[in-house]
Amino acid sequence: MNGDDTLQLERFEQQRDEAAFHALYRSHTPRLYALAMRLSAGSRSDAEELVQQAWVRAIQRLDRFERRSSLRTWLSGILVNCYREQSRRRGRAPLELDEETRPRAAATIAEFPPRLSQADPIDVERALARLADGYREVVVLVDVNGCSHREVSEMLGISEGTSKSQLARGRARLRELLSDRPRSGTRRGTS
Amino acid sequence: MKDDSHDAGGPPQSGELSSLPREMQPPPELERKVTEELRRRGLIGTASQPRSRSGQPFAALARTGLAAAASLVLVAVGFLLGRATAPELPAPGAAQTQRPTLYALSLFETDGFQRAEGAGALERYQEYSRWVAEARSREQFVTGEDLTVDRGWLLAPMADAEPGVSPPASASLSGIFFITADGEQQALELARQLPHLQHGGYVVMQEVIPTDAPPRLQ
Repeated sequence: MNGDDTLQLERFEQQRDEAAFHALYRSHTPRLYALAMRLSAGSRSDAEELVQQAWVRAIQRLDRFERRSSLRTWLSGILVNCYREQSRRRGRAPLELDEETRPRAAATIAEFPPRLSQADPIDVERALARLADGYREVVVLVDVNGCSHREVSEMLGISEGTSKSQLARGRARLRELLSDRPRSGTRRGTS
Repeated sequence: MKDDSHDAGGPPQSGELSSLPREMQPPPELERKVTEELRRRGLIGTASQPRSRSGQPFAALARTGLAAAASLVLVAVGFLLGRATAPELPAPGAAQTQRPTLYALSLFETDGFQRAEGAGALERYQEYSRWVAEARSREQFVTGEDLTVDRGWLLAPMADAEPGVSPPASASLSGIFFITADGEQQALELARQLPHLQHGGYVVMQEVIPTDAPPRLQ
């Protein structure tokens, strides 16, 4: 943990009041919110619900935080688990592979990393949002947030091998989605 | 979160992914919601009444939390009711009520439009998103869609559809319909039946880019 995290955490543990929580919240929520937005495919209401659930659970379980990882990683893991519980409640299976894309994805594993250089950030965000849940989780955690496969395996309760194969398939699917994207108009200003 | 095992095909060069913003500003009201939920559950106290580490929250705090939660429910119900009714168009000639009038803002580009590419496109999107967020915070935003500009059809009176998205310069935008179709041809078939064409009007058909899950950056 970095020094700021330690200070904020110690202050919160001592005081357990709103002011101490707000300091923690403001340090970590922008990152949690970005992760929640991407996991929930851009649904603002779902993202807000996830962030709220994650903070409640984190404060409830703060005494279990062993400080082996950064507070940020620990909070991200809690949020990912909240997302997976939410998915299960809604009948989605986060790790279910898209059967239609499986063969093609497997065939392109050797081609990684994806060449996305022609894509602009808006198209990439949209393509991410259209990925199947299981792919999106791993691609967002590894490629966007910079998590290691070990961290992803701990967060998602999967093996590192599964994390790697999901990443490979997710990247392949992402590239497919980007290759046949339509050009958008006014709102993003490119045409 | 150090990435120490990007071995699913070598080191990543997917710069577009790693350069996406890792932080997004949450809506300001979320902090209040989270704080109230923590207080309601007795997980934190107020500044003057910090929660004891082992005990239950103070009774007054619990009452305050319950009252706040009840208020939130009422606000949420009101918001949902408002959302359910707000987009309805008033019937022609209907008595004026307090309901806001629905307006359509149609955005056009010309050759002089300052377009953004690459990373600038994200900034442009964020710029538009801030406008949307502001309108939404005023409860004035209903919906918005992005349209393809490099693929579309122009339907003219007494003529078949031709590729294009630009009606004659003298044309005024006078209405918008949103339809669904299983493809361009089915959509064109329905578009050709629009009475507007029989009356000398033009119709431009453009695909709506799916924005059910846009980045919605703040």
